[in-house]
Amino acid sequence: MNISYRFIGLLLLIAMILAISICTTISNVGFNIPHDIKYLSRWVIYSSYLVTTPIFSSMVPEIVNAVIWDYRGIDTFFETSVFYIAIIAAIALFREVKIELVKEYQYLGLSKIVKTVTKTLLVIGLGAAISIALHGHITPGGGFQAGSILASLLLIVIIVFSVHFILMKGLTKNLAIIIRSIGLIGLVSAIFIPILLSLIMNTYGFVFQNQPKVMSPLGLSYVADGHVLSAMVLLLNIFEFLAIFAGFLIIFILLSRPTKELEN
Amino acid sequence: MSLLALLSVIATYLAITERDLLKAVIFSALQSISYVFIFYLLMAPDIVLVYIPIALGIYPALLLFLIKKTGRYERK
Repeated sequence: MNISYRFIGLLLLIAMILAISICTTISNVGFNIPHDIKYLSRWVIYSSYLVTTPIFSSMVPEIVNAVIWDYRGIDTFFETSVFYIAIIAAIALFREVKIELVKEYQYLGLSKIVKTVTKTLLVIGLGAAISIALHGHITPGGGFQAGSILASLLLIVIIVFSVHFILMKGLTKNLAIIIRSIGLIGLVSAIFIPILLSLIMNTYGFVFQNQPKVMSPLGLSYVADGHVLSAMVLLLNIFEFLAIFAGFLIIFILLSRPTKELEN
Repeated sequence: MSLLALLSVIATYLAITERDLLKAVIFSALQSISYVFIFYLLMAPDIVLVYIPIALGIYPALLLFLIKKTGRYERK
């Protein structure tokens, strides 16, 4: 395509956007933004952390985590399963590729300056990722965020130091698969243990039961030694963190191999 | 915020029409940067935290791996 055609198209696009936005703002045609909070969101904000009546609350101070792990927990669970299945497909595609460890390869990579900067960055980023995972129930963040931050850090390490460095340090594909399985088994057991307990104790129990409800007394304590832990949400965040970062790491280890090696 | 939204539209258009796939990935990252600021201004820090590593780290990196394995220029 000629360059001038591209810029004419771009100008037309910008003119269209500006015309639509000016028309909607001047004549007030567009969507009317409600000035008060909707009933459902007000209820969610109100009931996410109620110290006086924990029975009607999820006891998570951070509302987004309260929604994704308590009110809409099954959504997040299926999202994690989709991710799990996608990575199983990636592993199945690369199933016959054998990773050879050559000792000289671990000294490959970019220059020493970049390596030093990356080492410093890795320590800071590891701390940030772990704190985002562990504080997901109090501050913005959570398991998925922390897992993807750590995965992108490991991606930087793979680019700067080469894959062989990570493999020689012991972070192999099989270890990543084990970490991911631990995370997912932890997620599933944390979800279904209330039901098993309810069968044993002859009471009612629900999937994703975080706090005791009106009819069922099951649930972990949300506070320990004065610290708000939001018991099950903290556990789920940690397991999600393990599953997500190990899943992304598997894909990077598989994809960052040279094409010639794959063809052999 | 509206300027950022306009910038994201321009970057998307350039990324779609670009024949050099490496430049297209960079334009798509530019669009992601403007989205990050929009999410931050809309007071959604959770989305910002997940959008920065995914859309600026993992997604362009995966595309770069694939471009390296296939070819840099799009055929007509």
